[in-house]
Amino acid sequence: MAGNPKINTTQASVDGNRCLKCGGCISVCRFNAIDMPHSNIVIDANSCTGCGVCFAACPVSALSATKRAEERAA
Amino acid sequence: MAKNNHNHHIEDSYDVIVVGSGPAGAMAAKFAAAGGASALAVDRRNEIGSPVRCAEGVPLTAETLESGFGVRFSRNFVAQDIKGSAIISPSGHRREFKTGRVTGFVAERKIFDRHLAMAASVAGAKVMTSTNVVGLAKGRNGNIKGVIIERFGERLDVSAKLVIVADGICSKVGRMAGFYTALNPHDVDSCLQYEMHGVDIDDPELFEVYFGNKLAPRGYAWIFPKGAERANVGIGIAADSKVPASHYLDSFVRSRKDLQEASIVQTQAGLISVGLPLQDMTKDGIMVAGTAARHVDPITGGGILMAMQAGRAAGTVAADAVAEGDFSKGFLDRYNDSQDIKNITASITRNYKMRMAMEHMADEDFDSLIAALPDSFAEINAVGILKLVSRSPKLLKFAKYLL
Repeated sequence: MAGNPKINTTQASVDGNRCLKCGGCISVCRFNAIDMPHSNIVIDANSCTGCGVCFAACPVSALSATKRAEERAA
Repeated sequence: MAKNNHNHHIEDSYDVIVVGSGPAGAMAAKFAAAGGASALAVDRRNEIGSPVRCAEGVPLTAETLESGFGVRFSRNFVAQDIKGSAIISPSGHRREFKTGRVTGFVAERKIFDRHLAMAASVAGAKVMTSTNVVGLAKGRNGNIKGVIIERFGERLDVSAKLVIVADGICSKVGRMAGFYTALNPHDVDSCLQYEMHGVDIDDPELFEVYFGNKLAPRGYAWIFPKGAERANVGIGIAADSKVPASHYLDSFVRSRKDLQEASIVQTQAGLISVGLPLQDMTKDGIMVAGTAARHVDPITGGGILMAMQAGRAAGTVAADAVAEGDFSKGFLDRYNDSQDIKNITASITRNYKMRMAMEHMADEDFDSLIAALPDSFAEINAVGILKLVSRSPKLLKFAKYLL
């Protein structure tokens, strides 16, 4: 899928000011892209497809789409 | 592997390692240890029970806790005794269902969960916080032979004959072991809760539950009292909703003057499974229990009691496996076939159907259903609900979901 501009131009990013660190997003991510190694949500840009499932699931809308770094550079 | 000063008290090997020390993990460790196995329960959190990710309603009496689980009851973890529930229909009609006896309590989960972990410790298990399982150690034949843990920045291999996975909704270790992939967001509720002080509580001995598609689409709002003025005020909605739970909770709070003026002393978020449980919870050398196995009621979102029952069943089978030296899936399937698991699976499956029916109900249907509930509702079982739906012409169309 890598390189498909339709699904890969964005990825999830977490707003640390909103996140309540419940970890719920981890449980719905189909790509195993989210982890909470030391009580903070971390998103693996290589695994995240920007599918948006976690955006909807987050109780406080702490997750949203951002452009990938390579897209921003382009 | 050399150990630093922090980790010298972790042995190189245990009979049973339990991943996660919530209600399921603590009971698994307790029953494994009580059955004669050496058991280690690790939890990645620094404080067991924290952060709280639930409404803290526990449908357990002192007698059940002591006789069923061998855990000493204490008032320390009881915020409020509960004797029934009040259901408020979308049109605002309130029905109270009182049993006349204590049927459960609203807990202080941080104290309750630690109490359960201590019960595991009393039984001879070792409990260890701030200890993250980062991998499963496997032998050449692919069989699980332990876990890789990380504690205070140091990695350690700890061997085990058996691993019990009880790491909750995220269940990273359950995924590593290949039990499942991600949850379907439609079978998950997204929840937000405020612990509030200054709430006008009609009757502190009742759980209050509010239904309505505008109020909480595909879910409900709750007020679980913790005394006369303090309560957990929360909401759960389908996790594939376009609007976040925070929007609905704030609307609910704005709809009542007392809530609007009340203080918020804790904010708690979480996702809960409202789908079907895992059908097969065992593989060679490993079992899954509790929320990690989706042992959660699809209607109420409650899972503490089922988690404890599943943990008890897994721990008991683990001790037997150690005694007999058999860690094959064939042996561990005694856990799948245990009475605890049969009960849990039957009850979740029944309520899952009910949840599917409720998903198709308009607010008027909820009004009809709630009005039709008999006063003995608190004692009613699923068959009773089916009869009720079948007898009401307005609700008959939902009977198909329940069969």
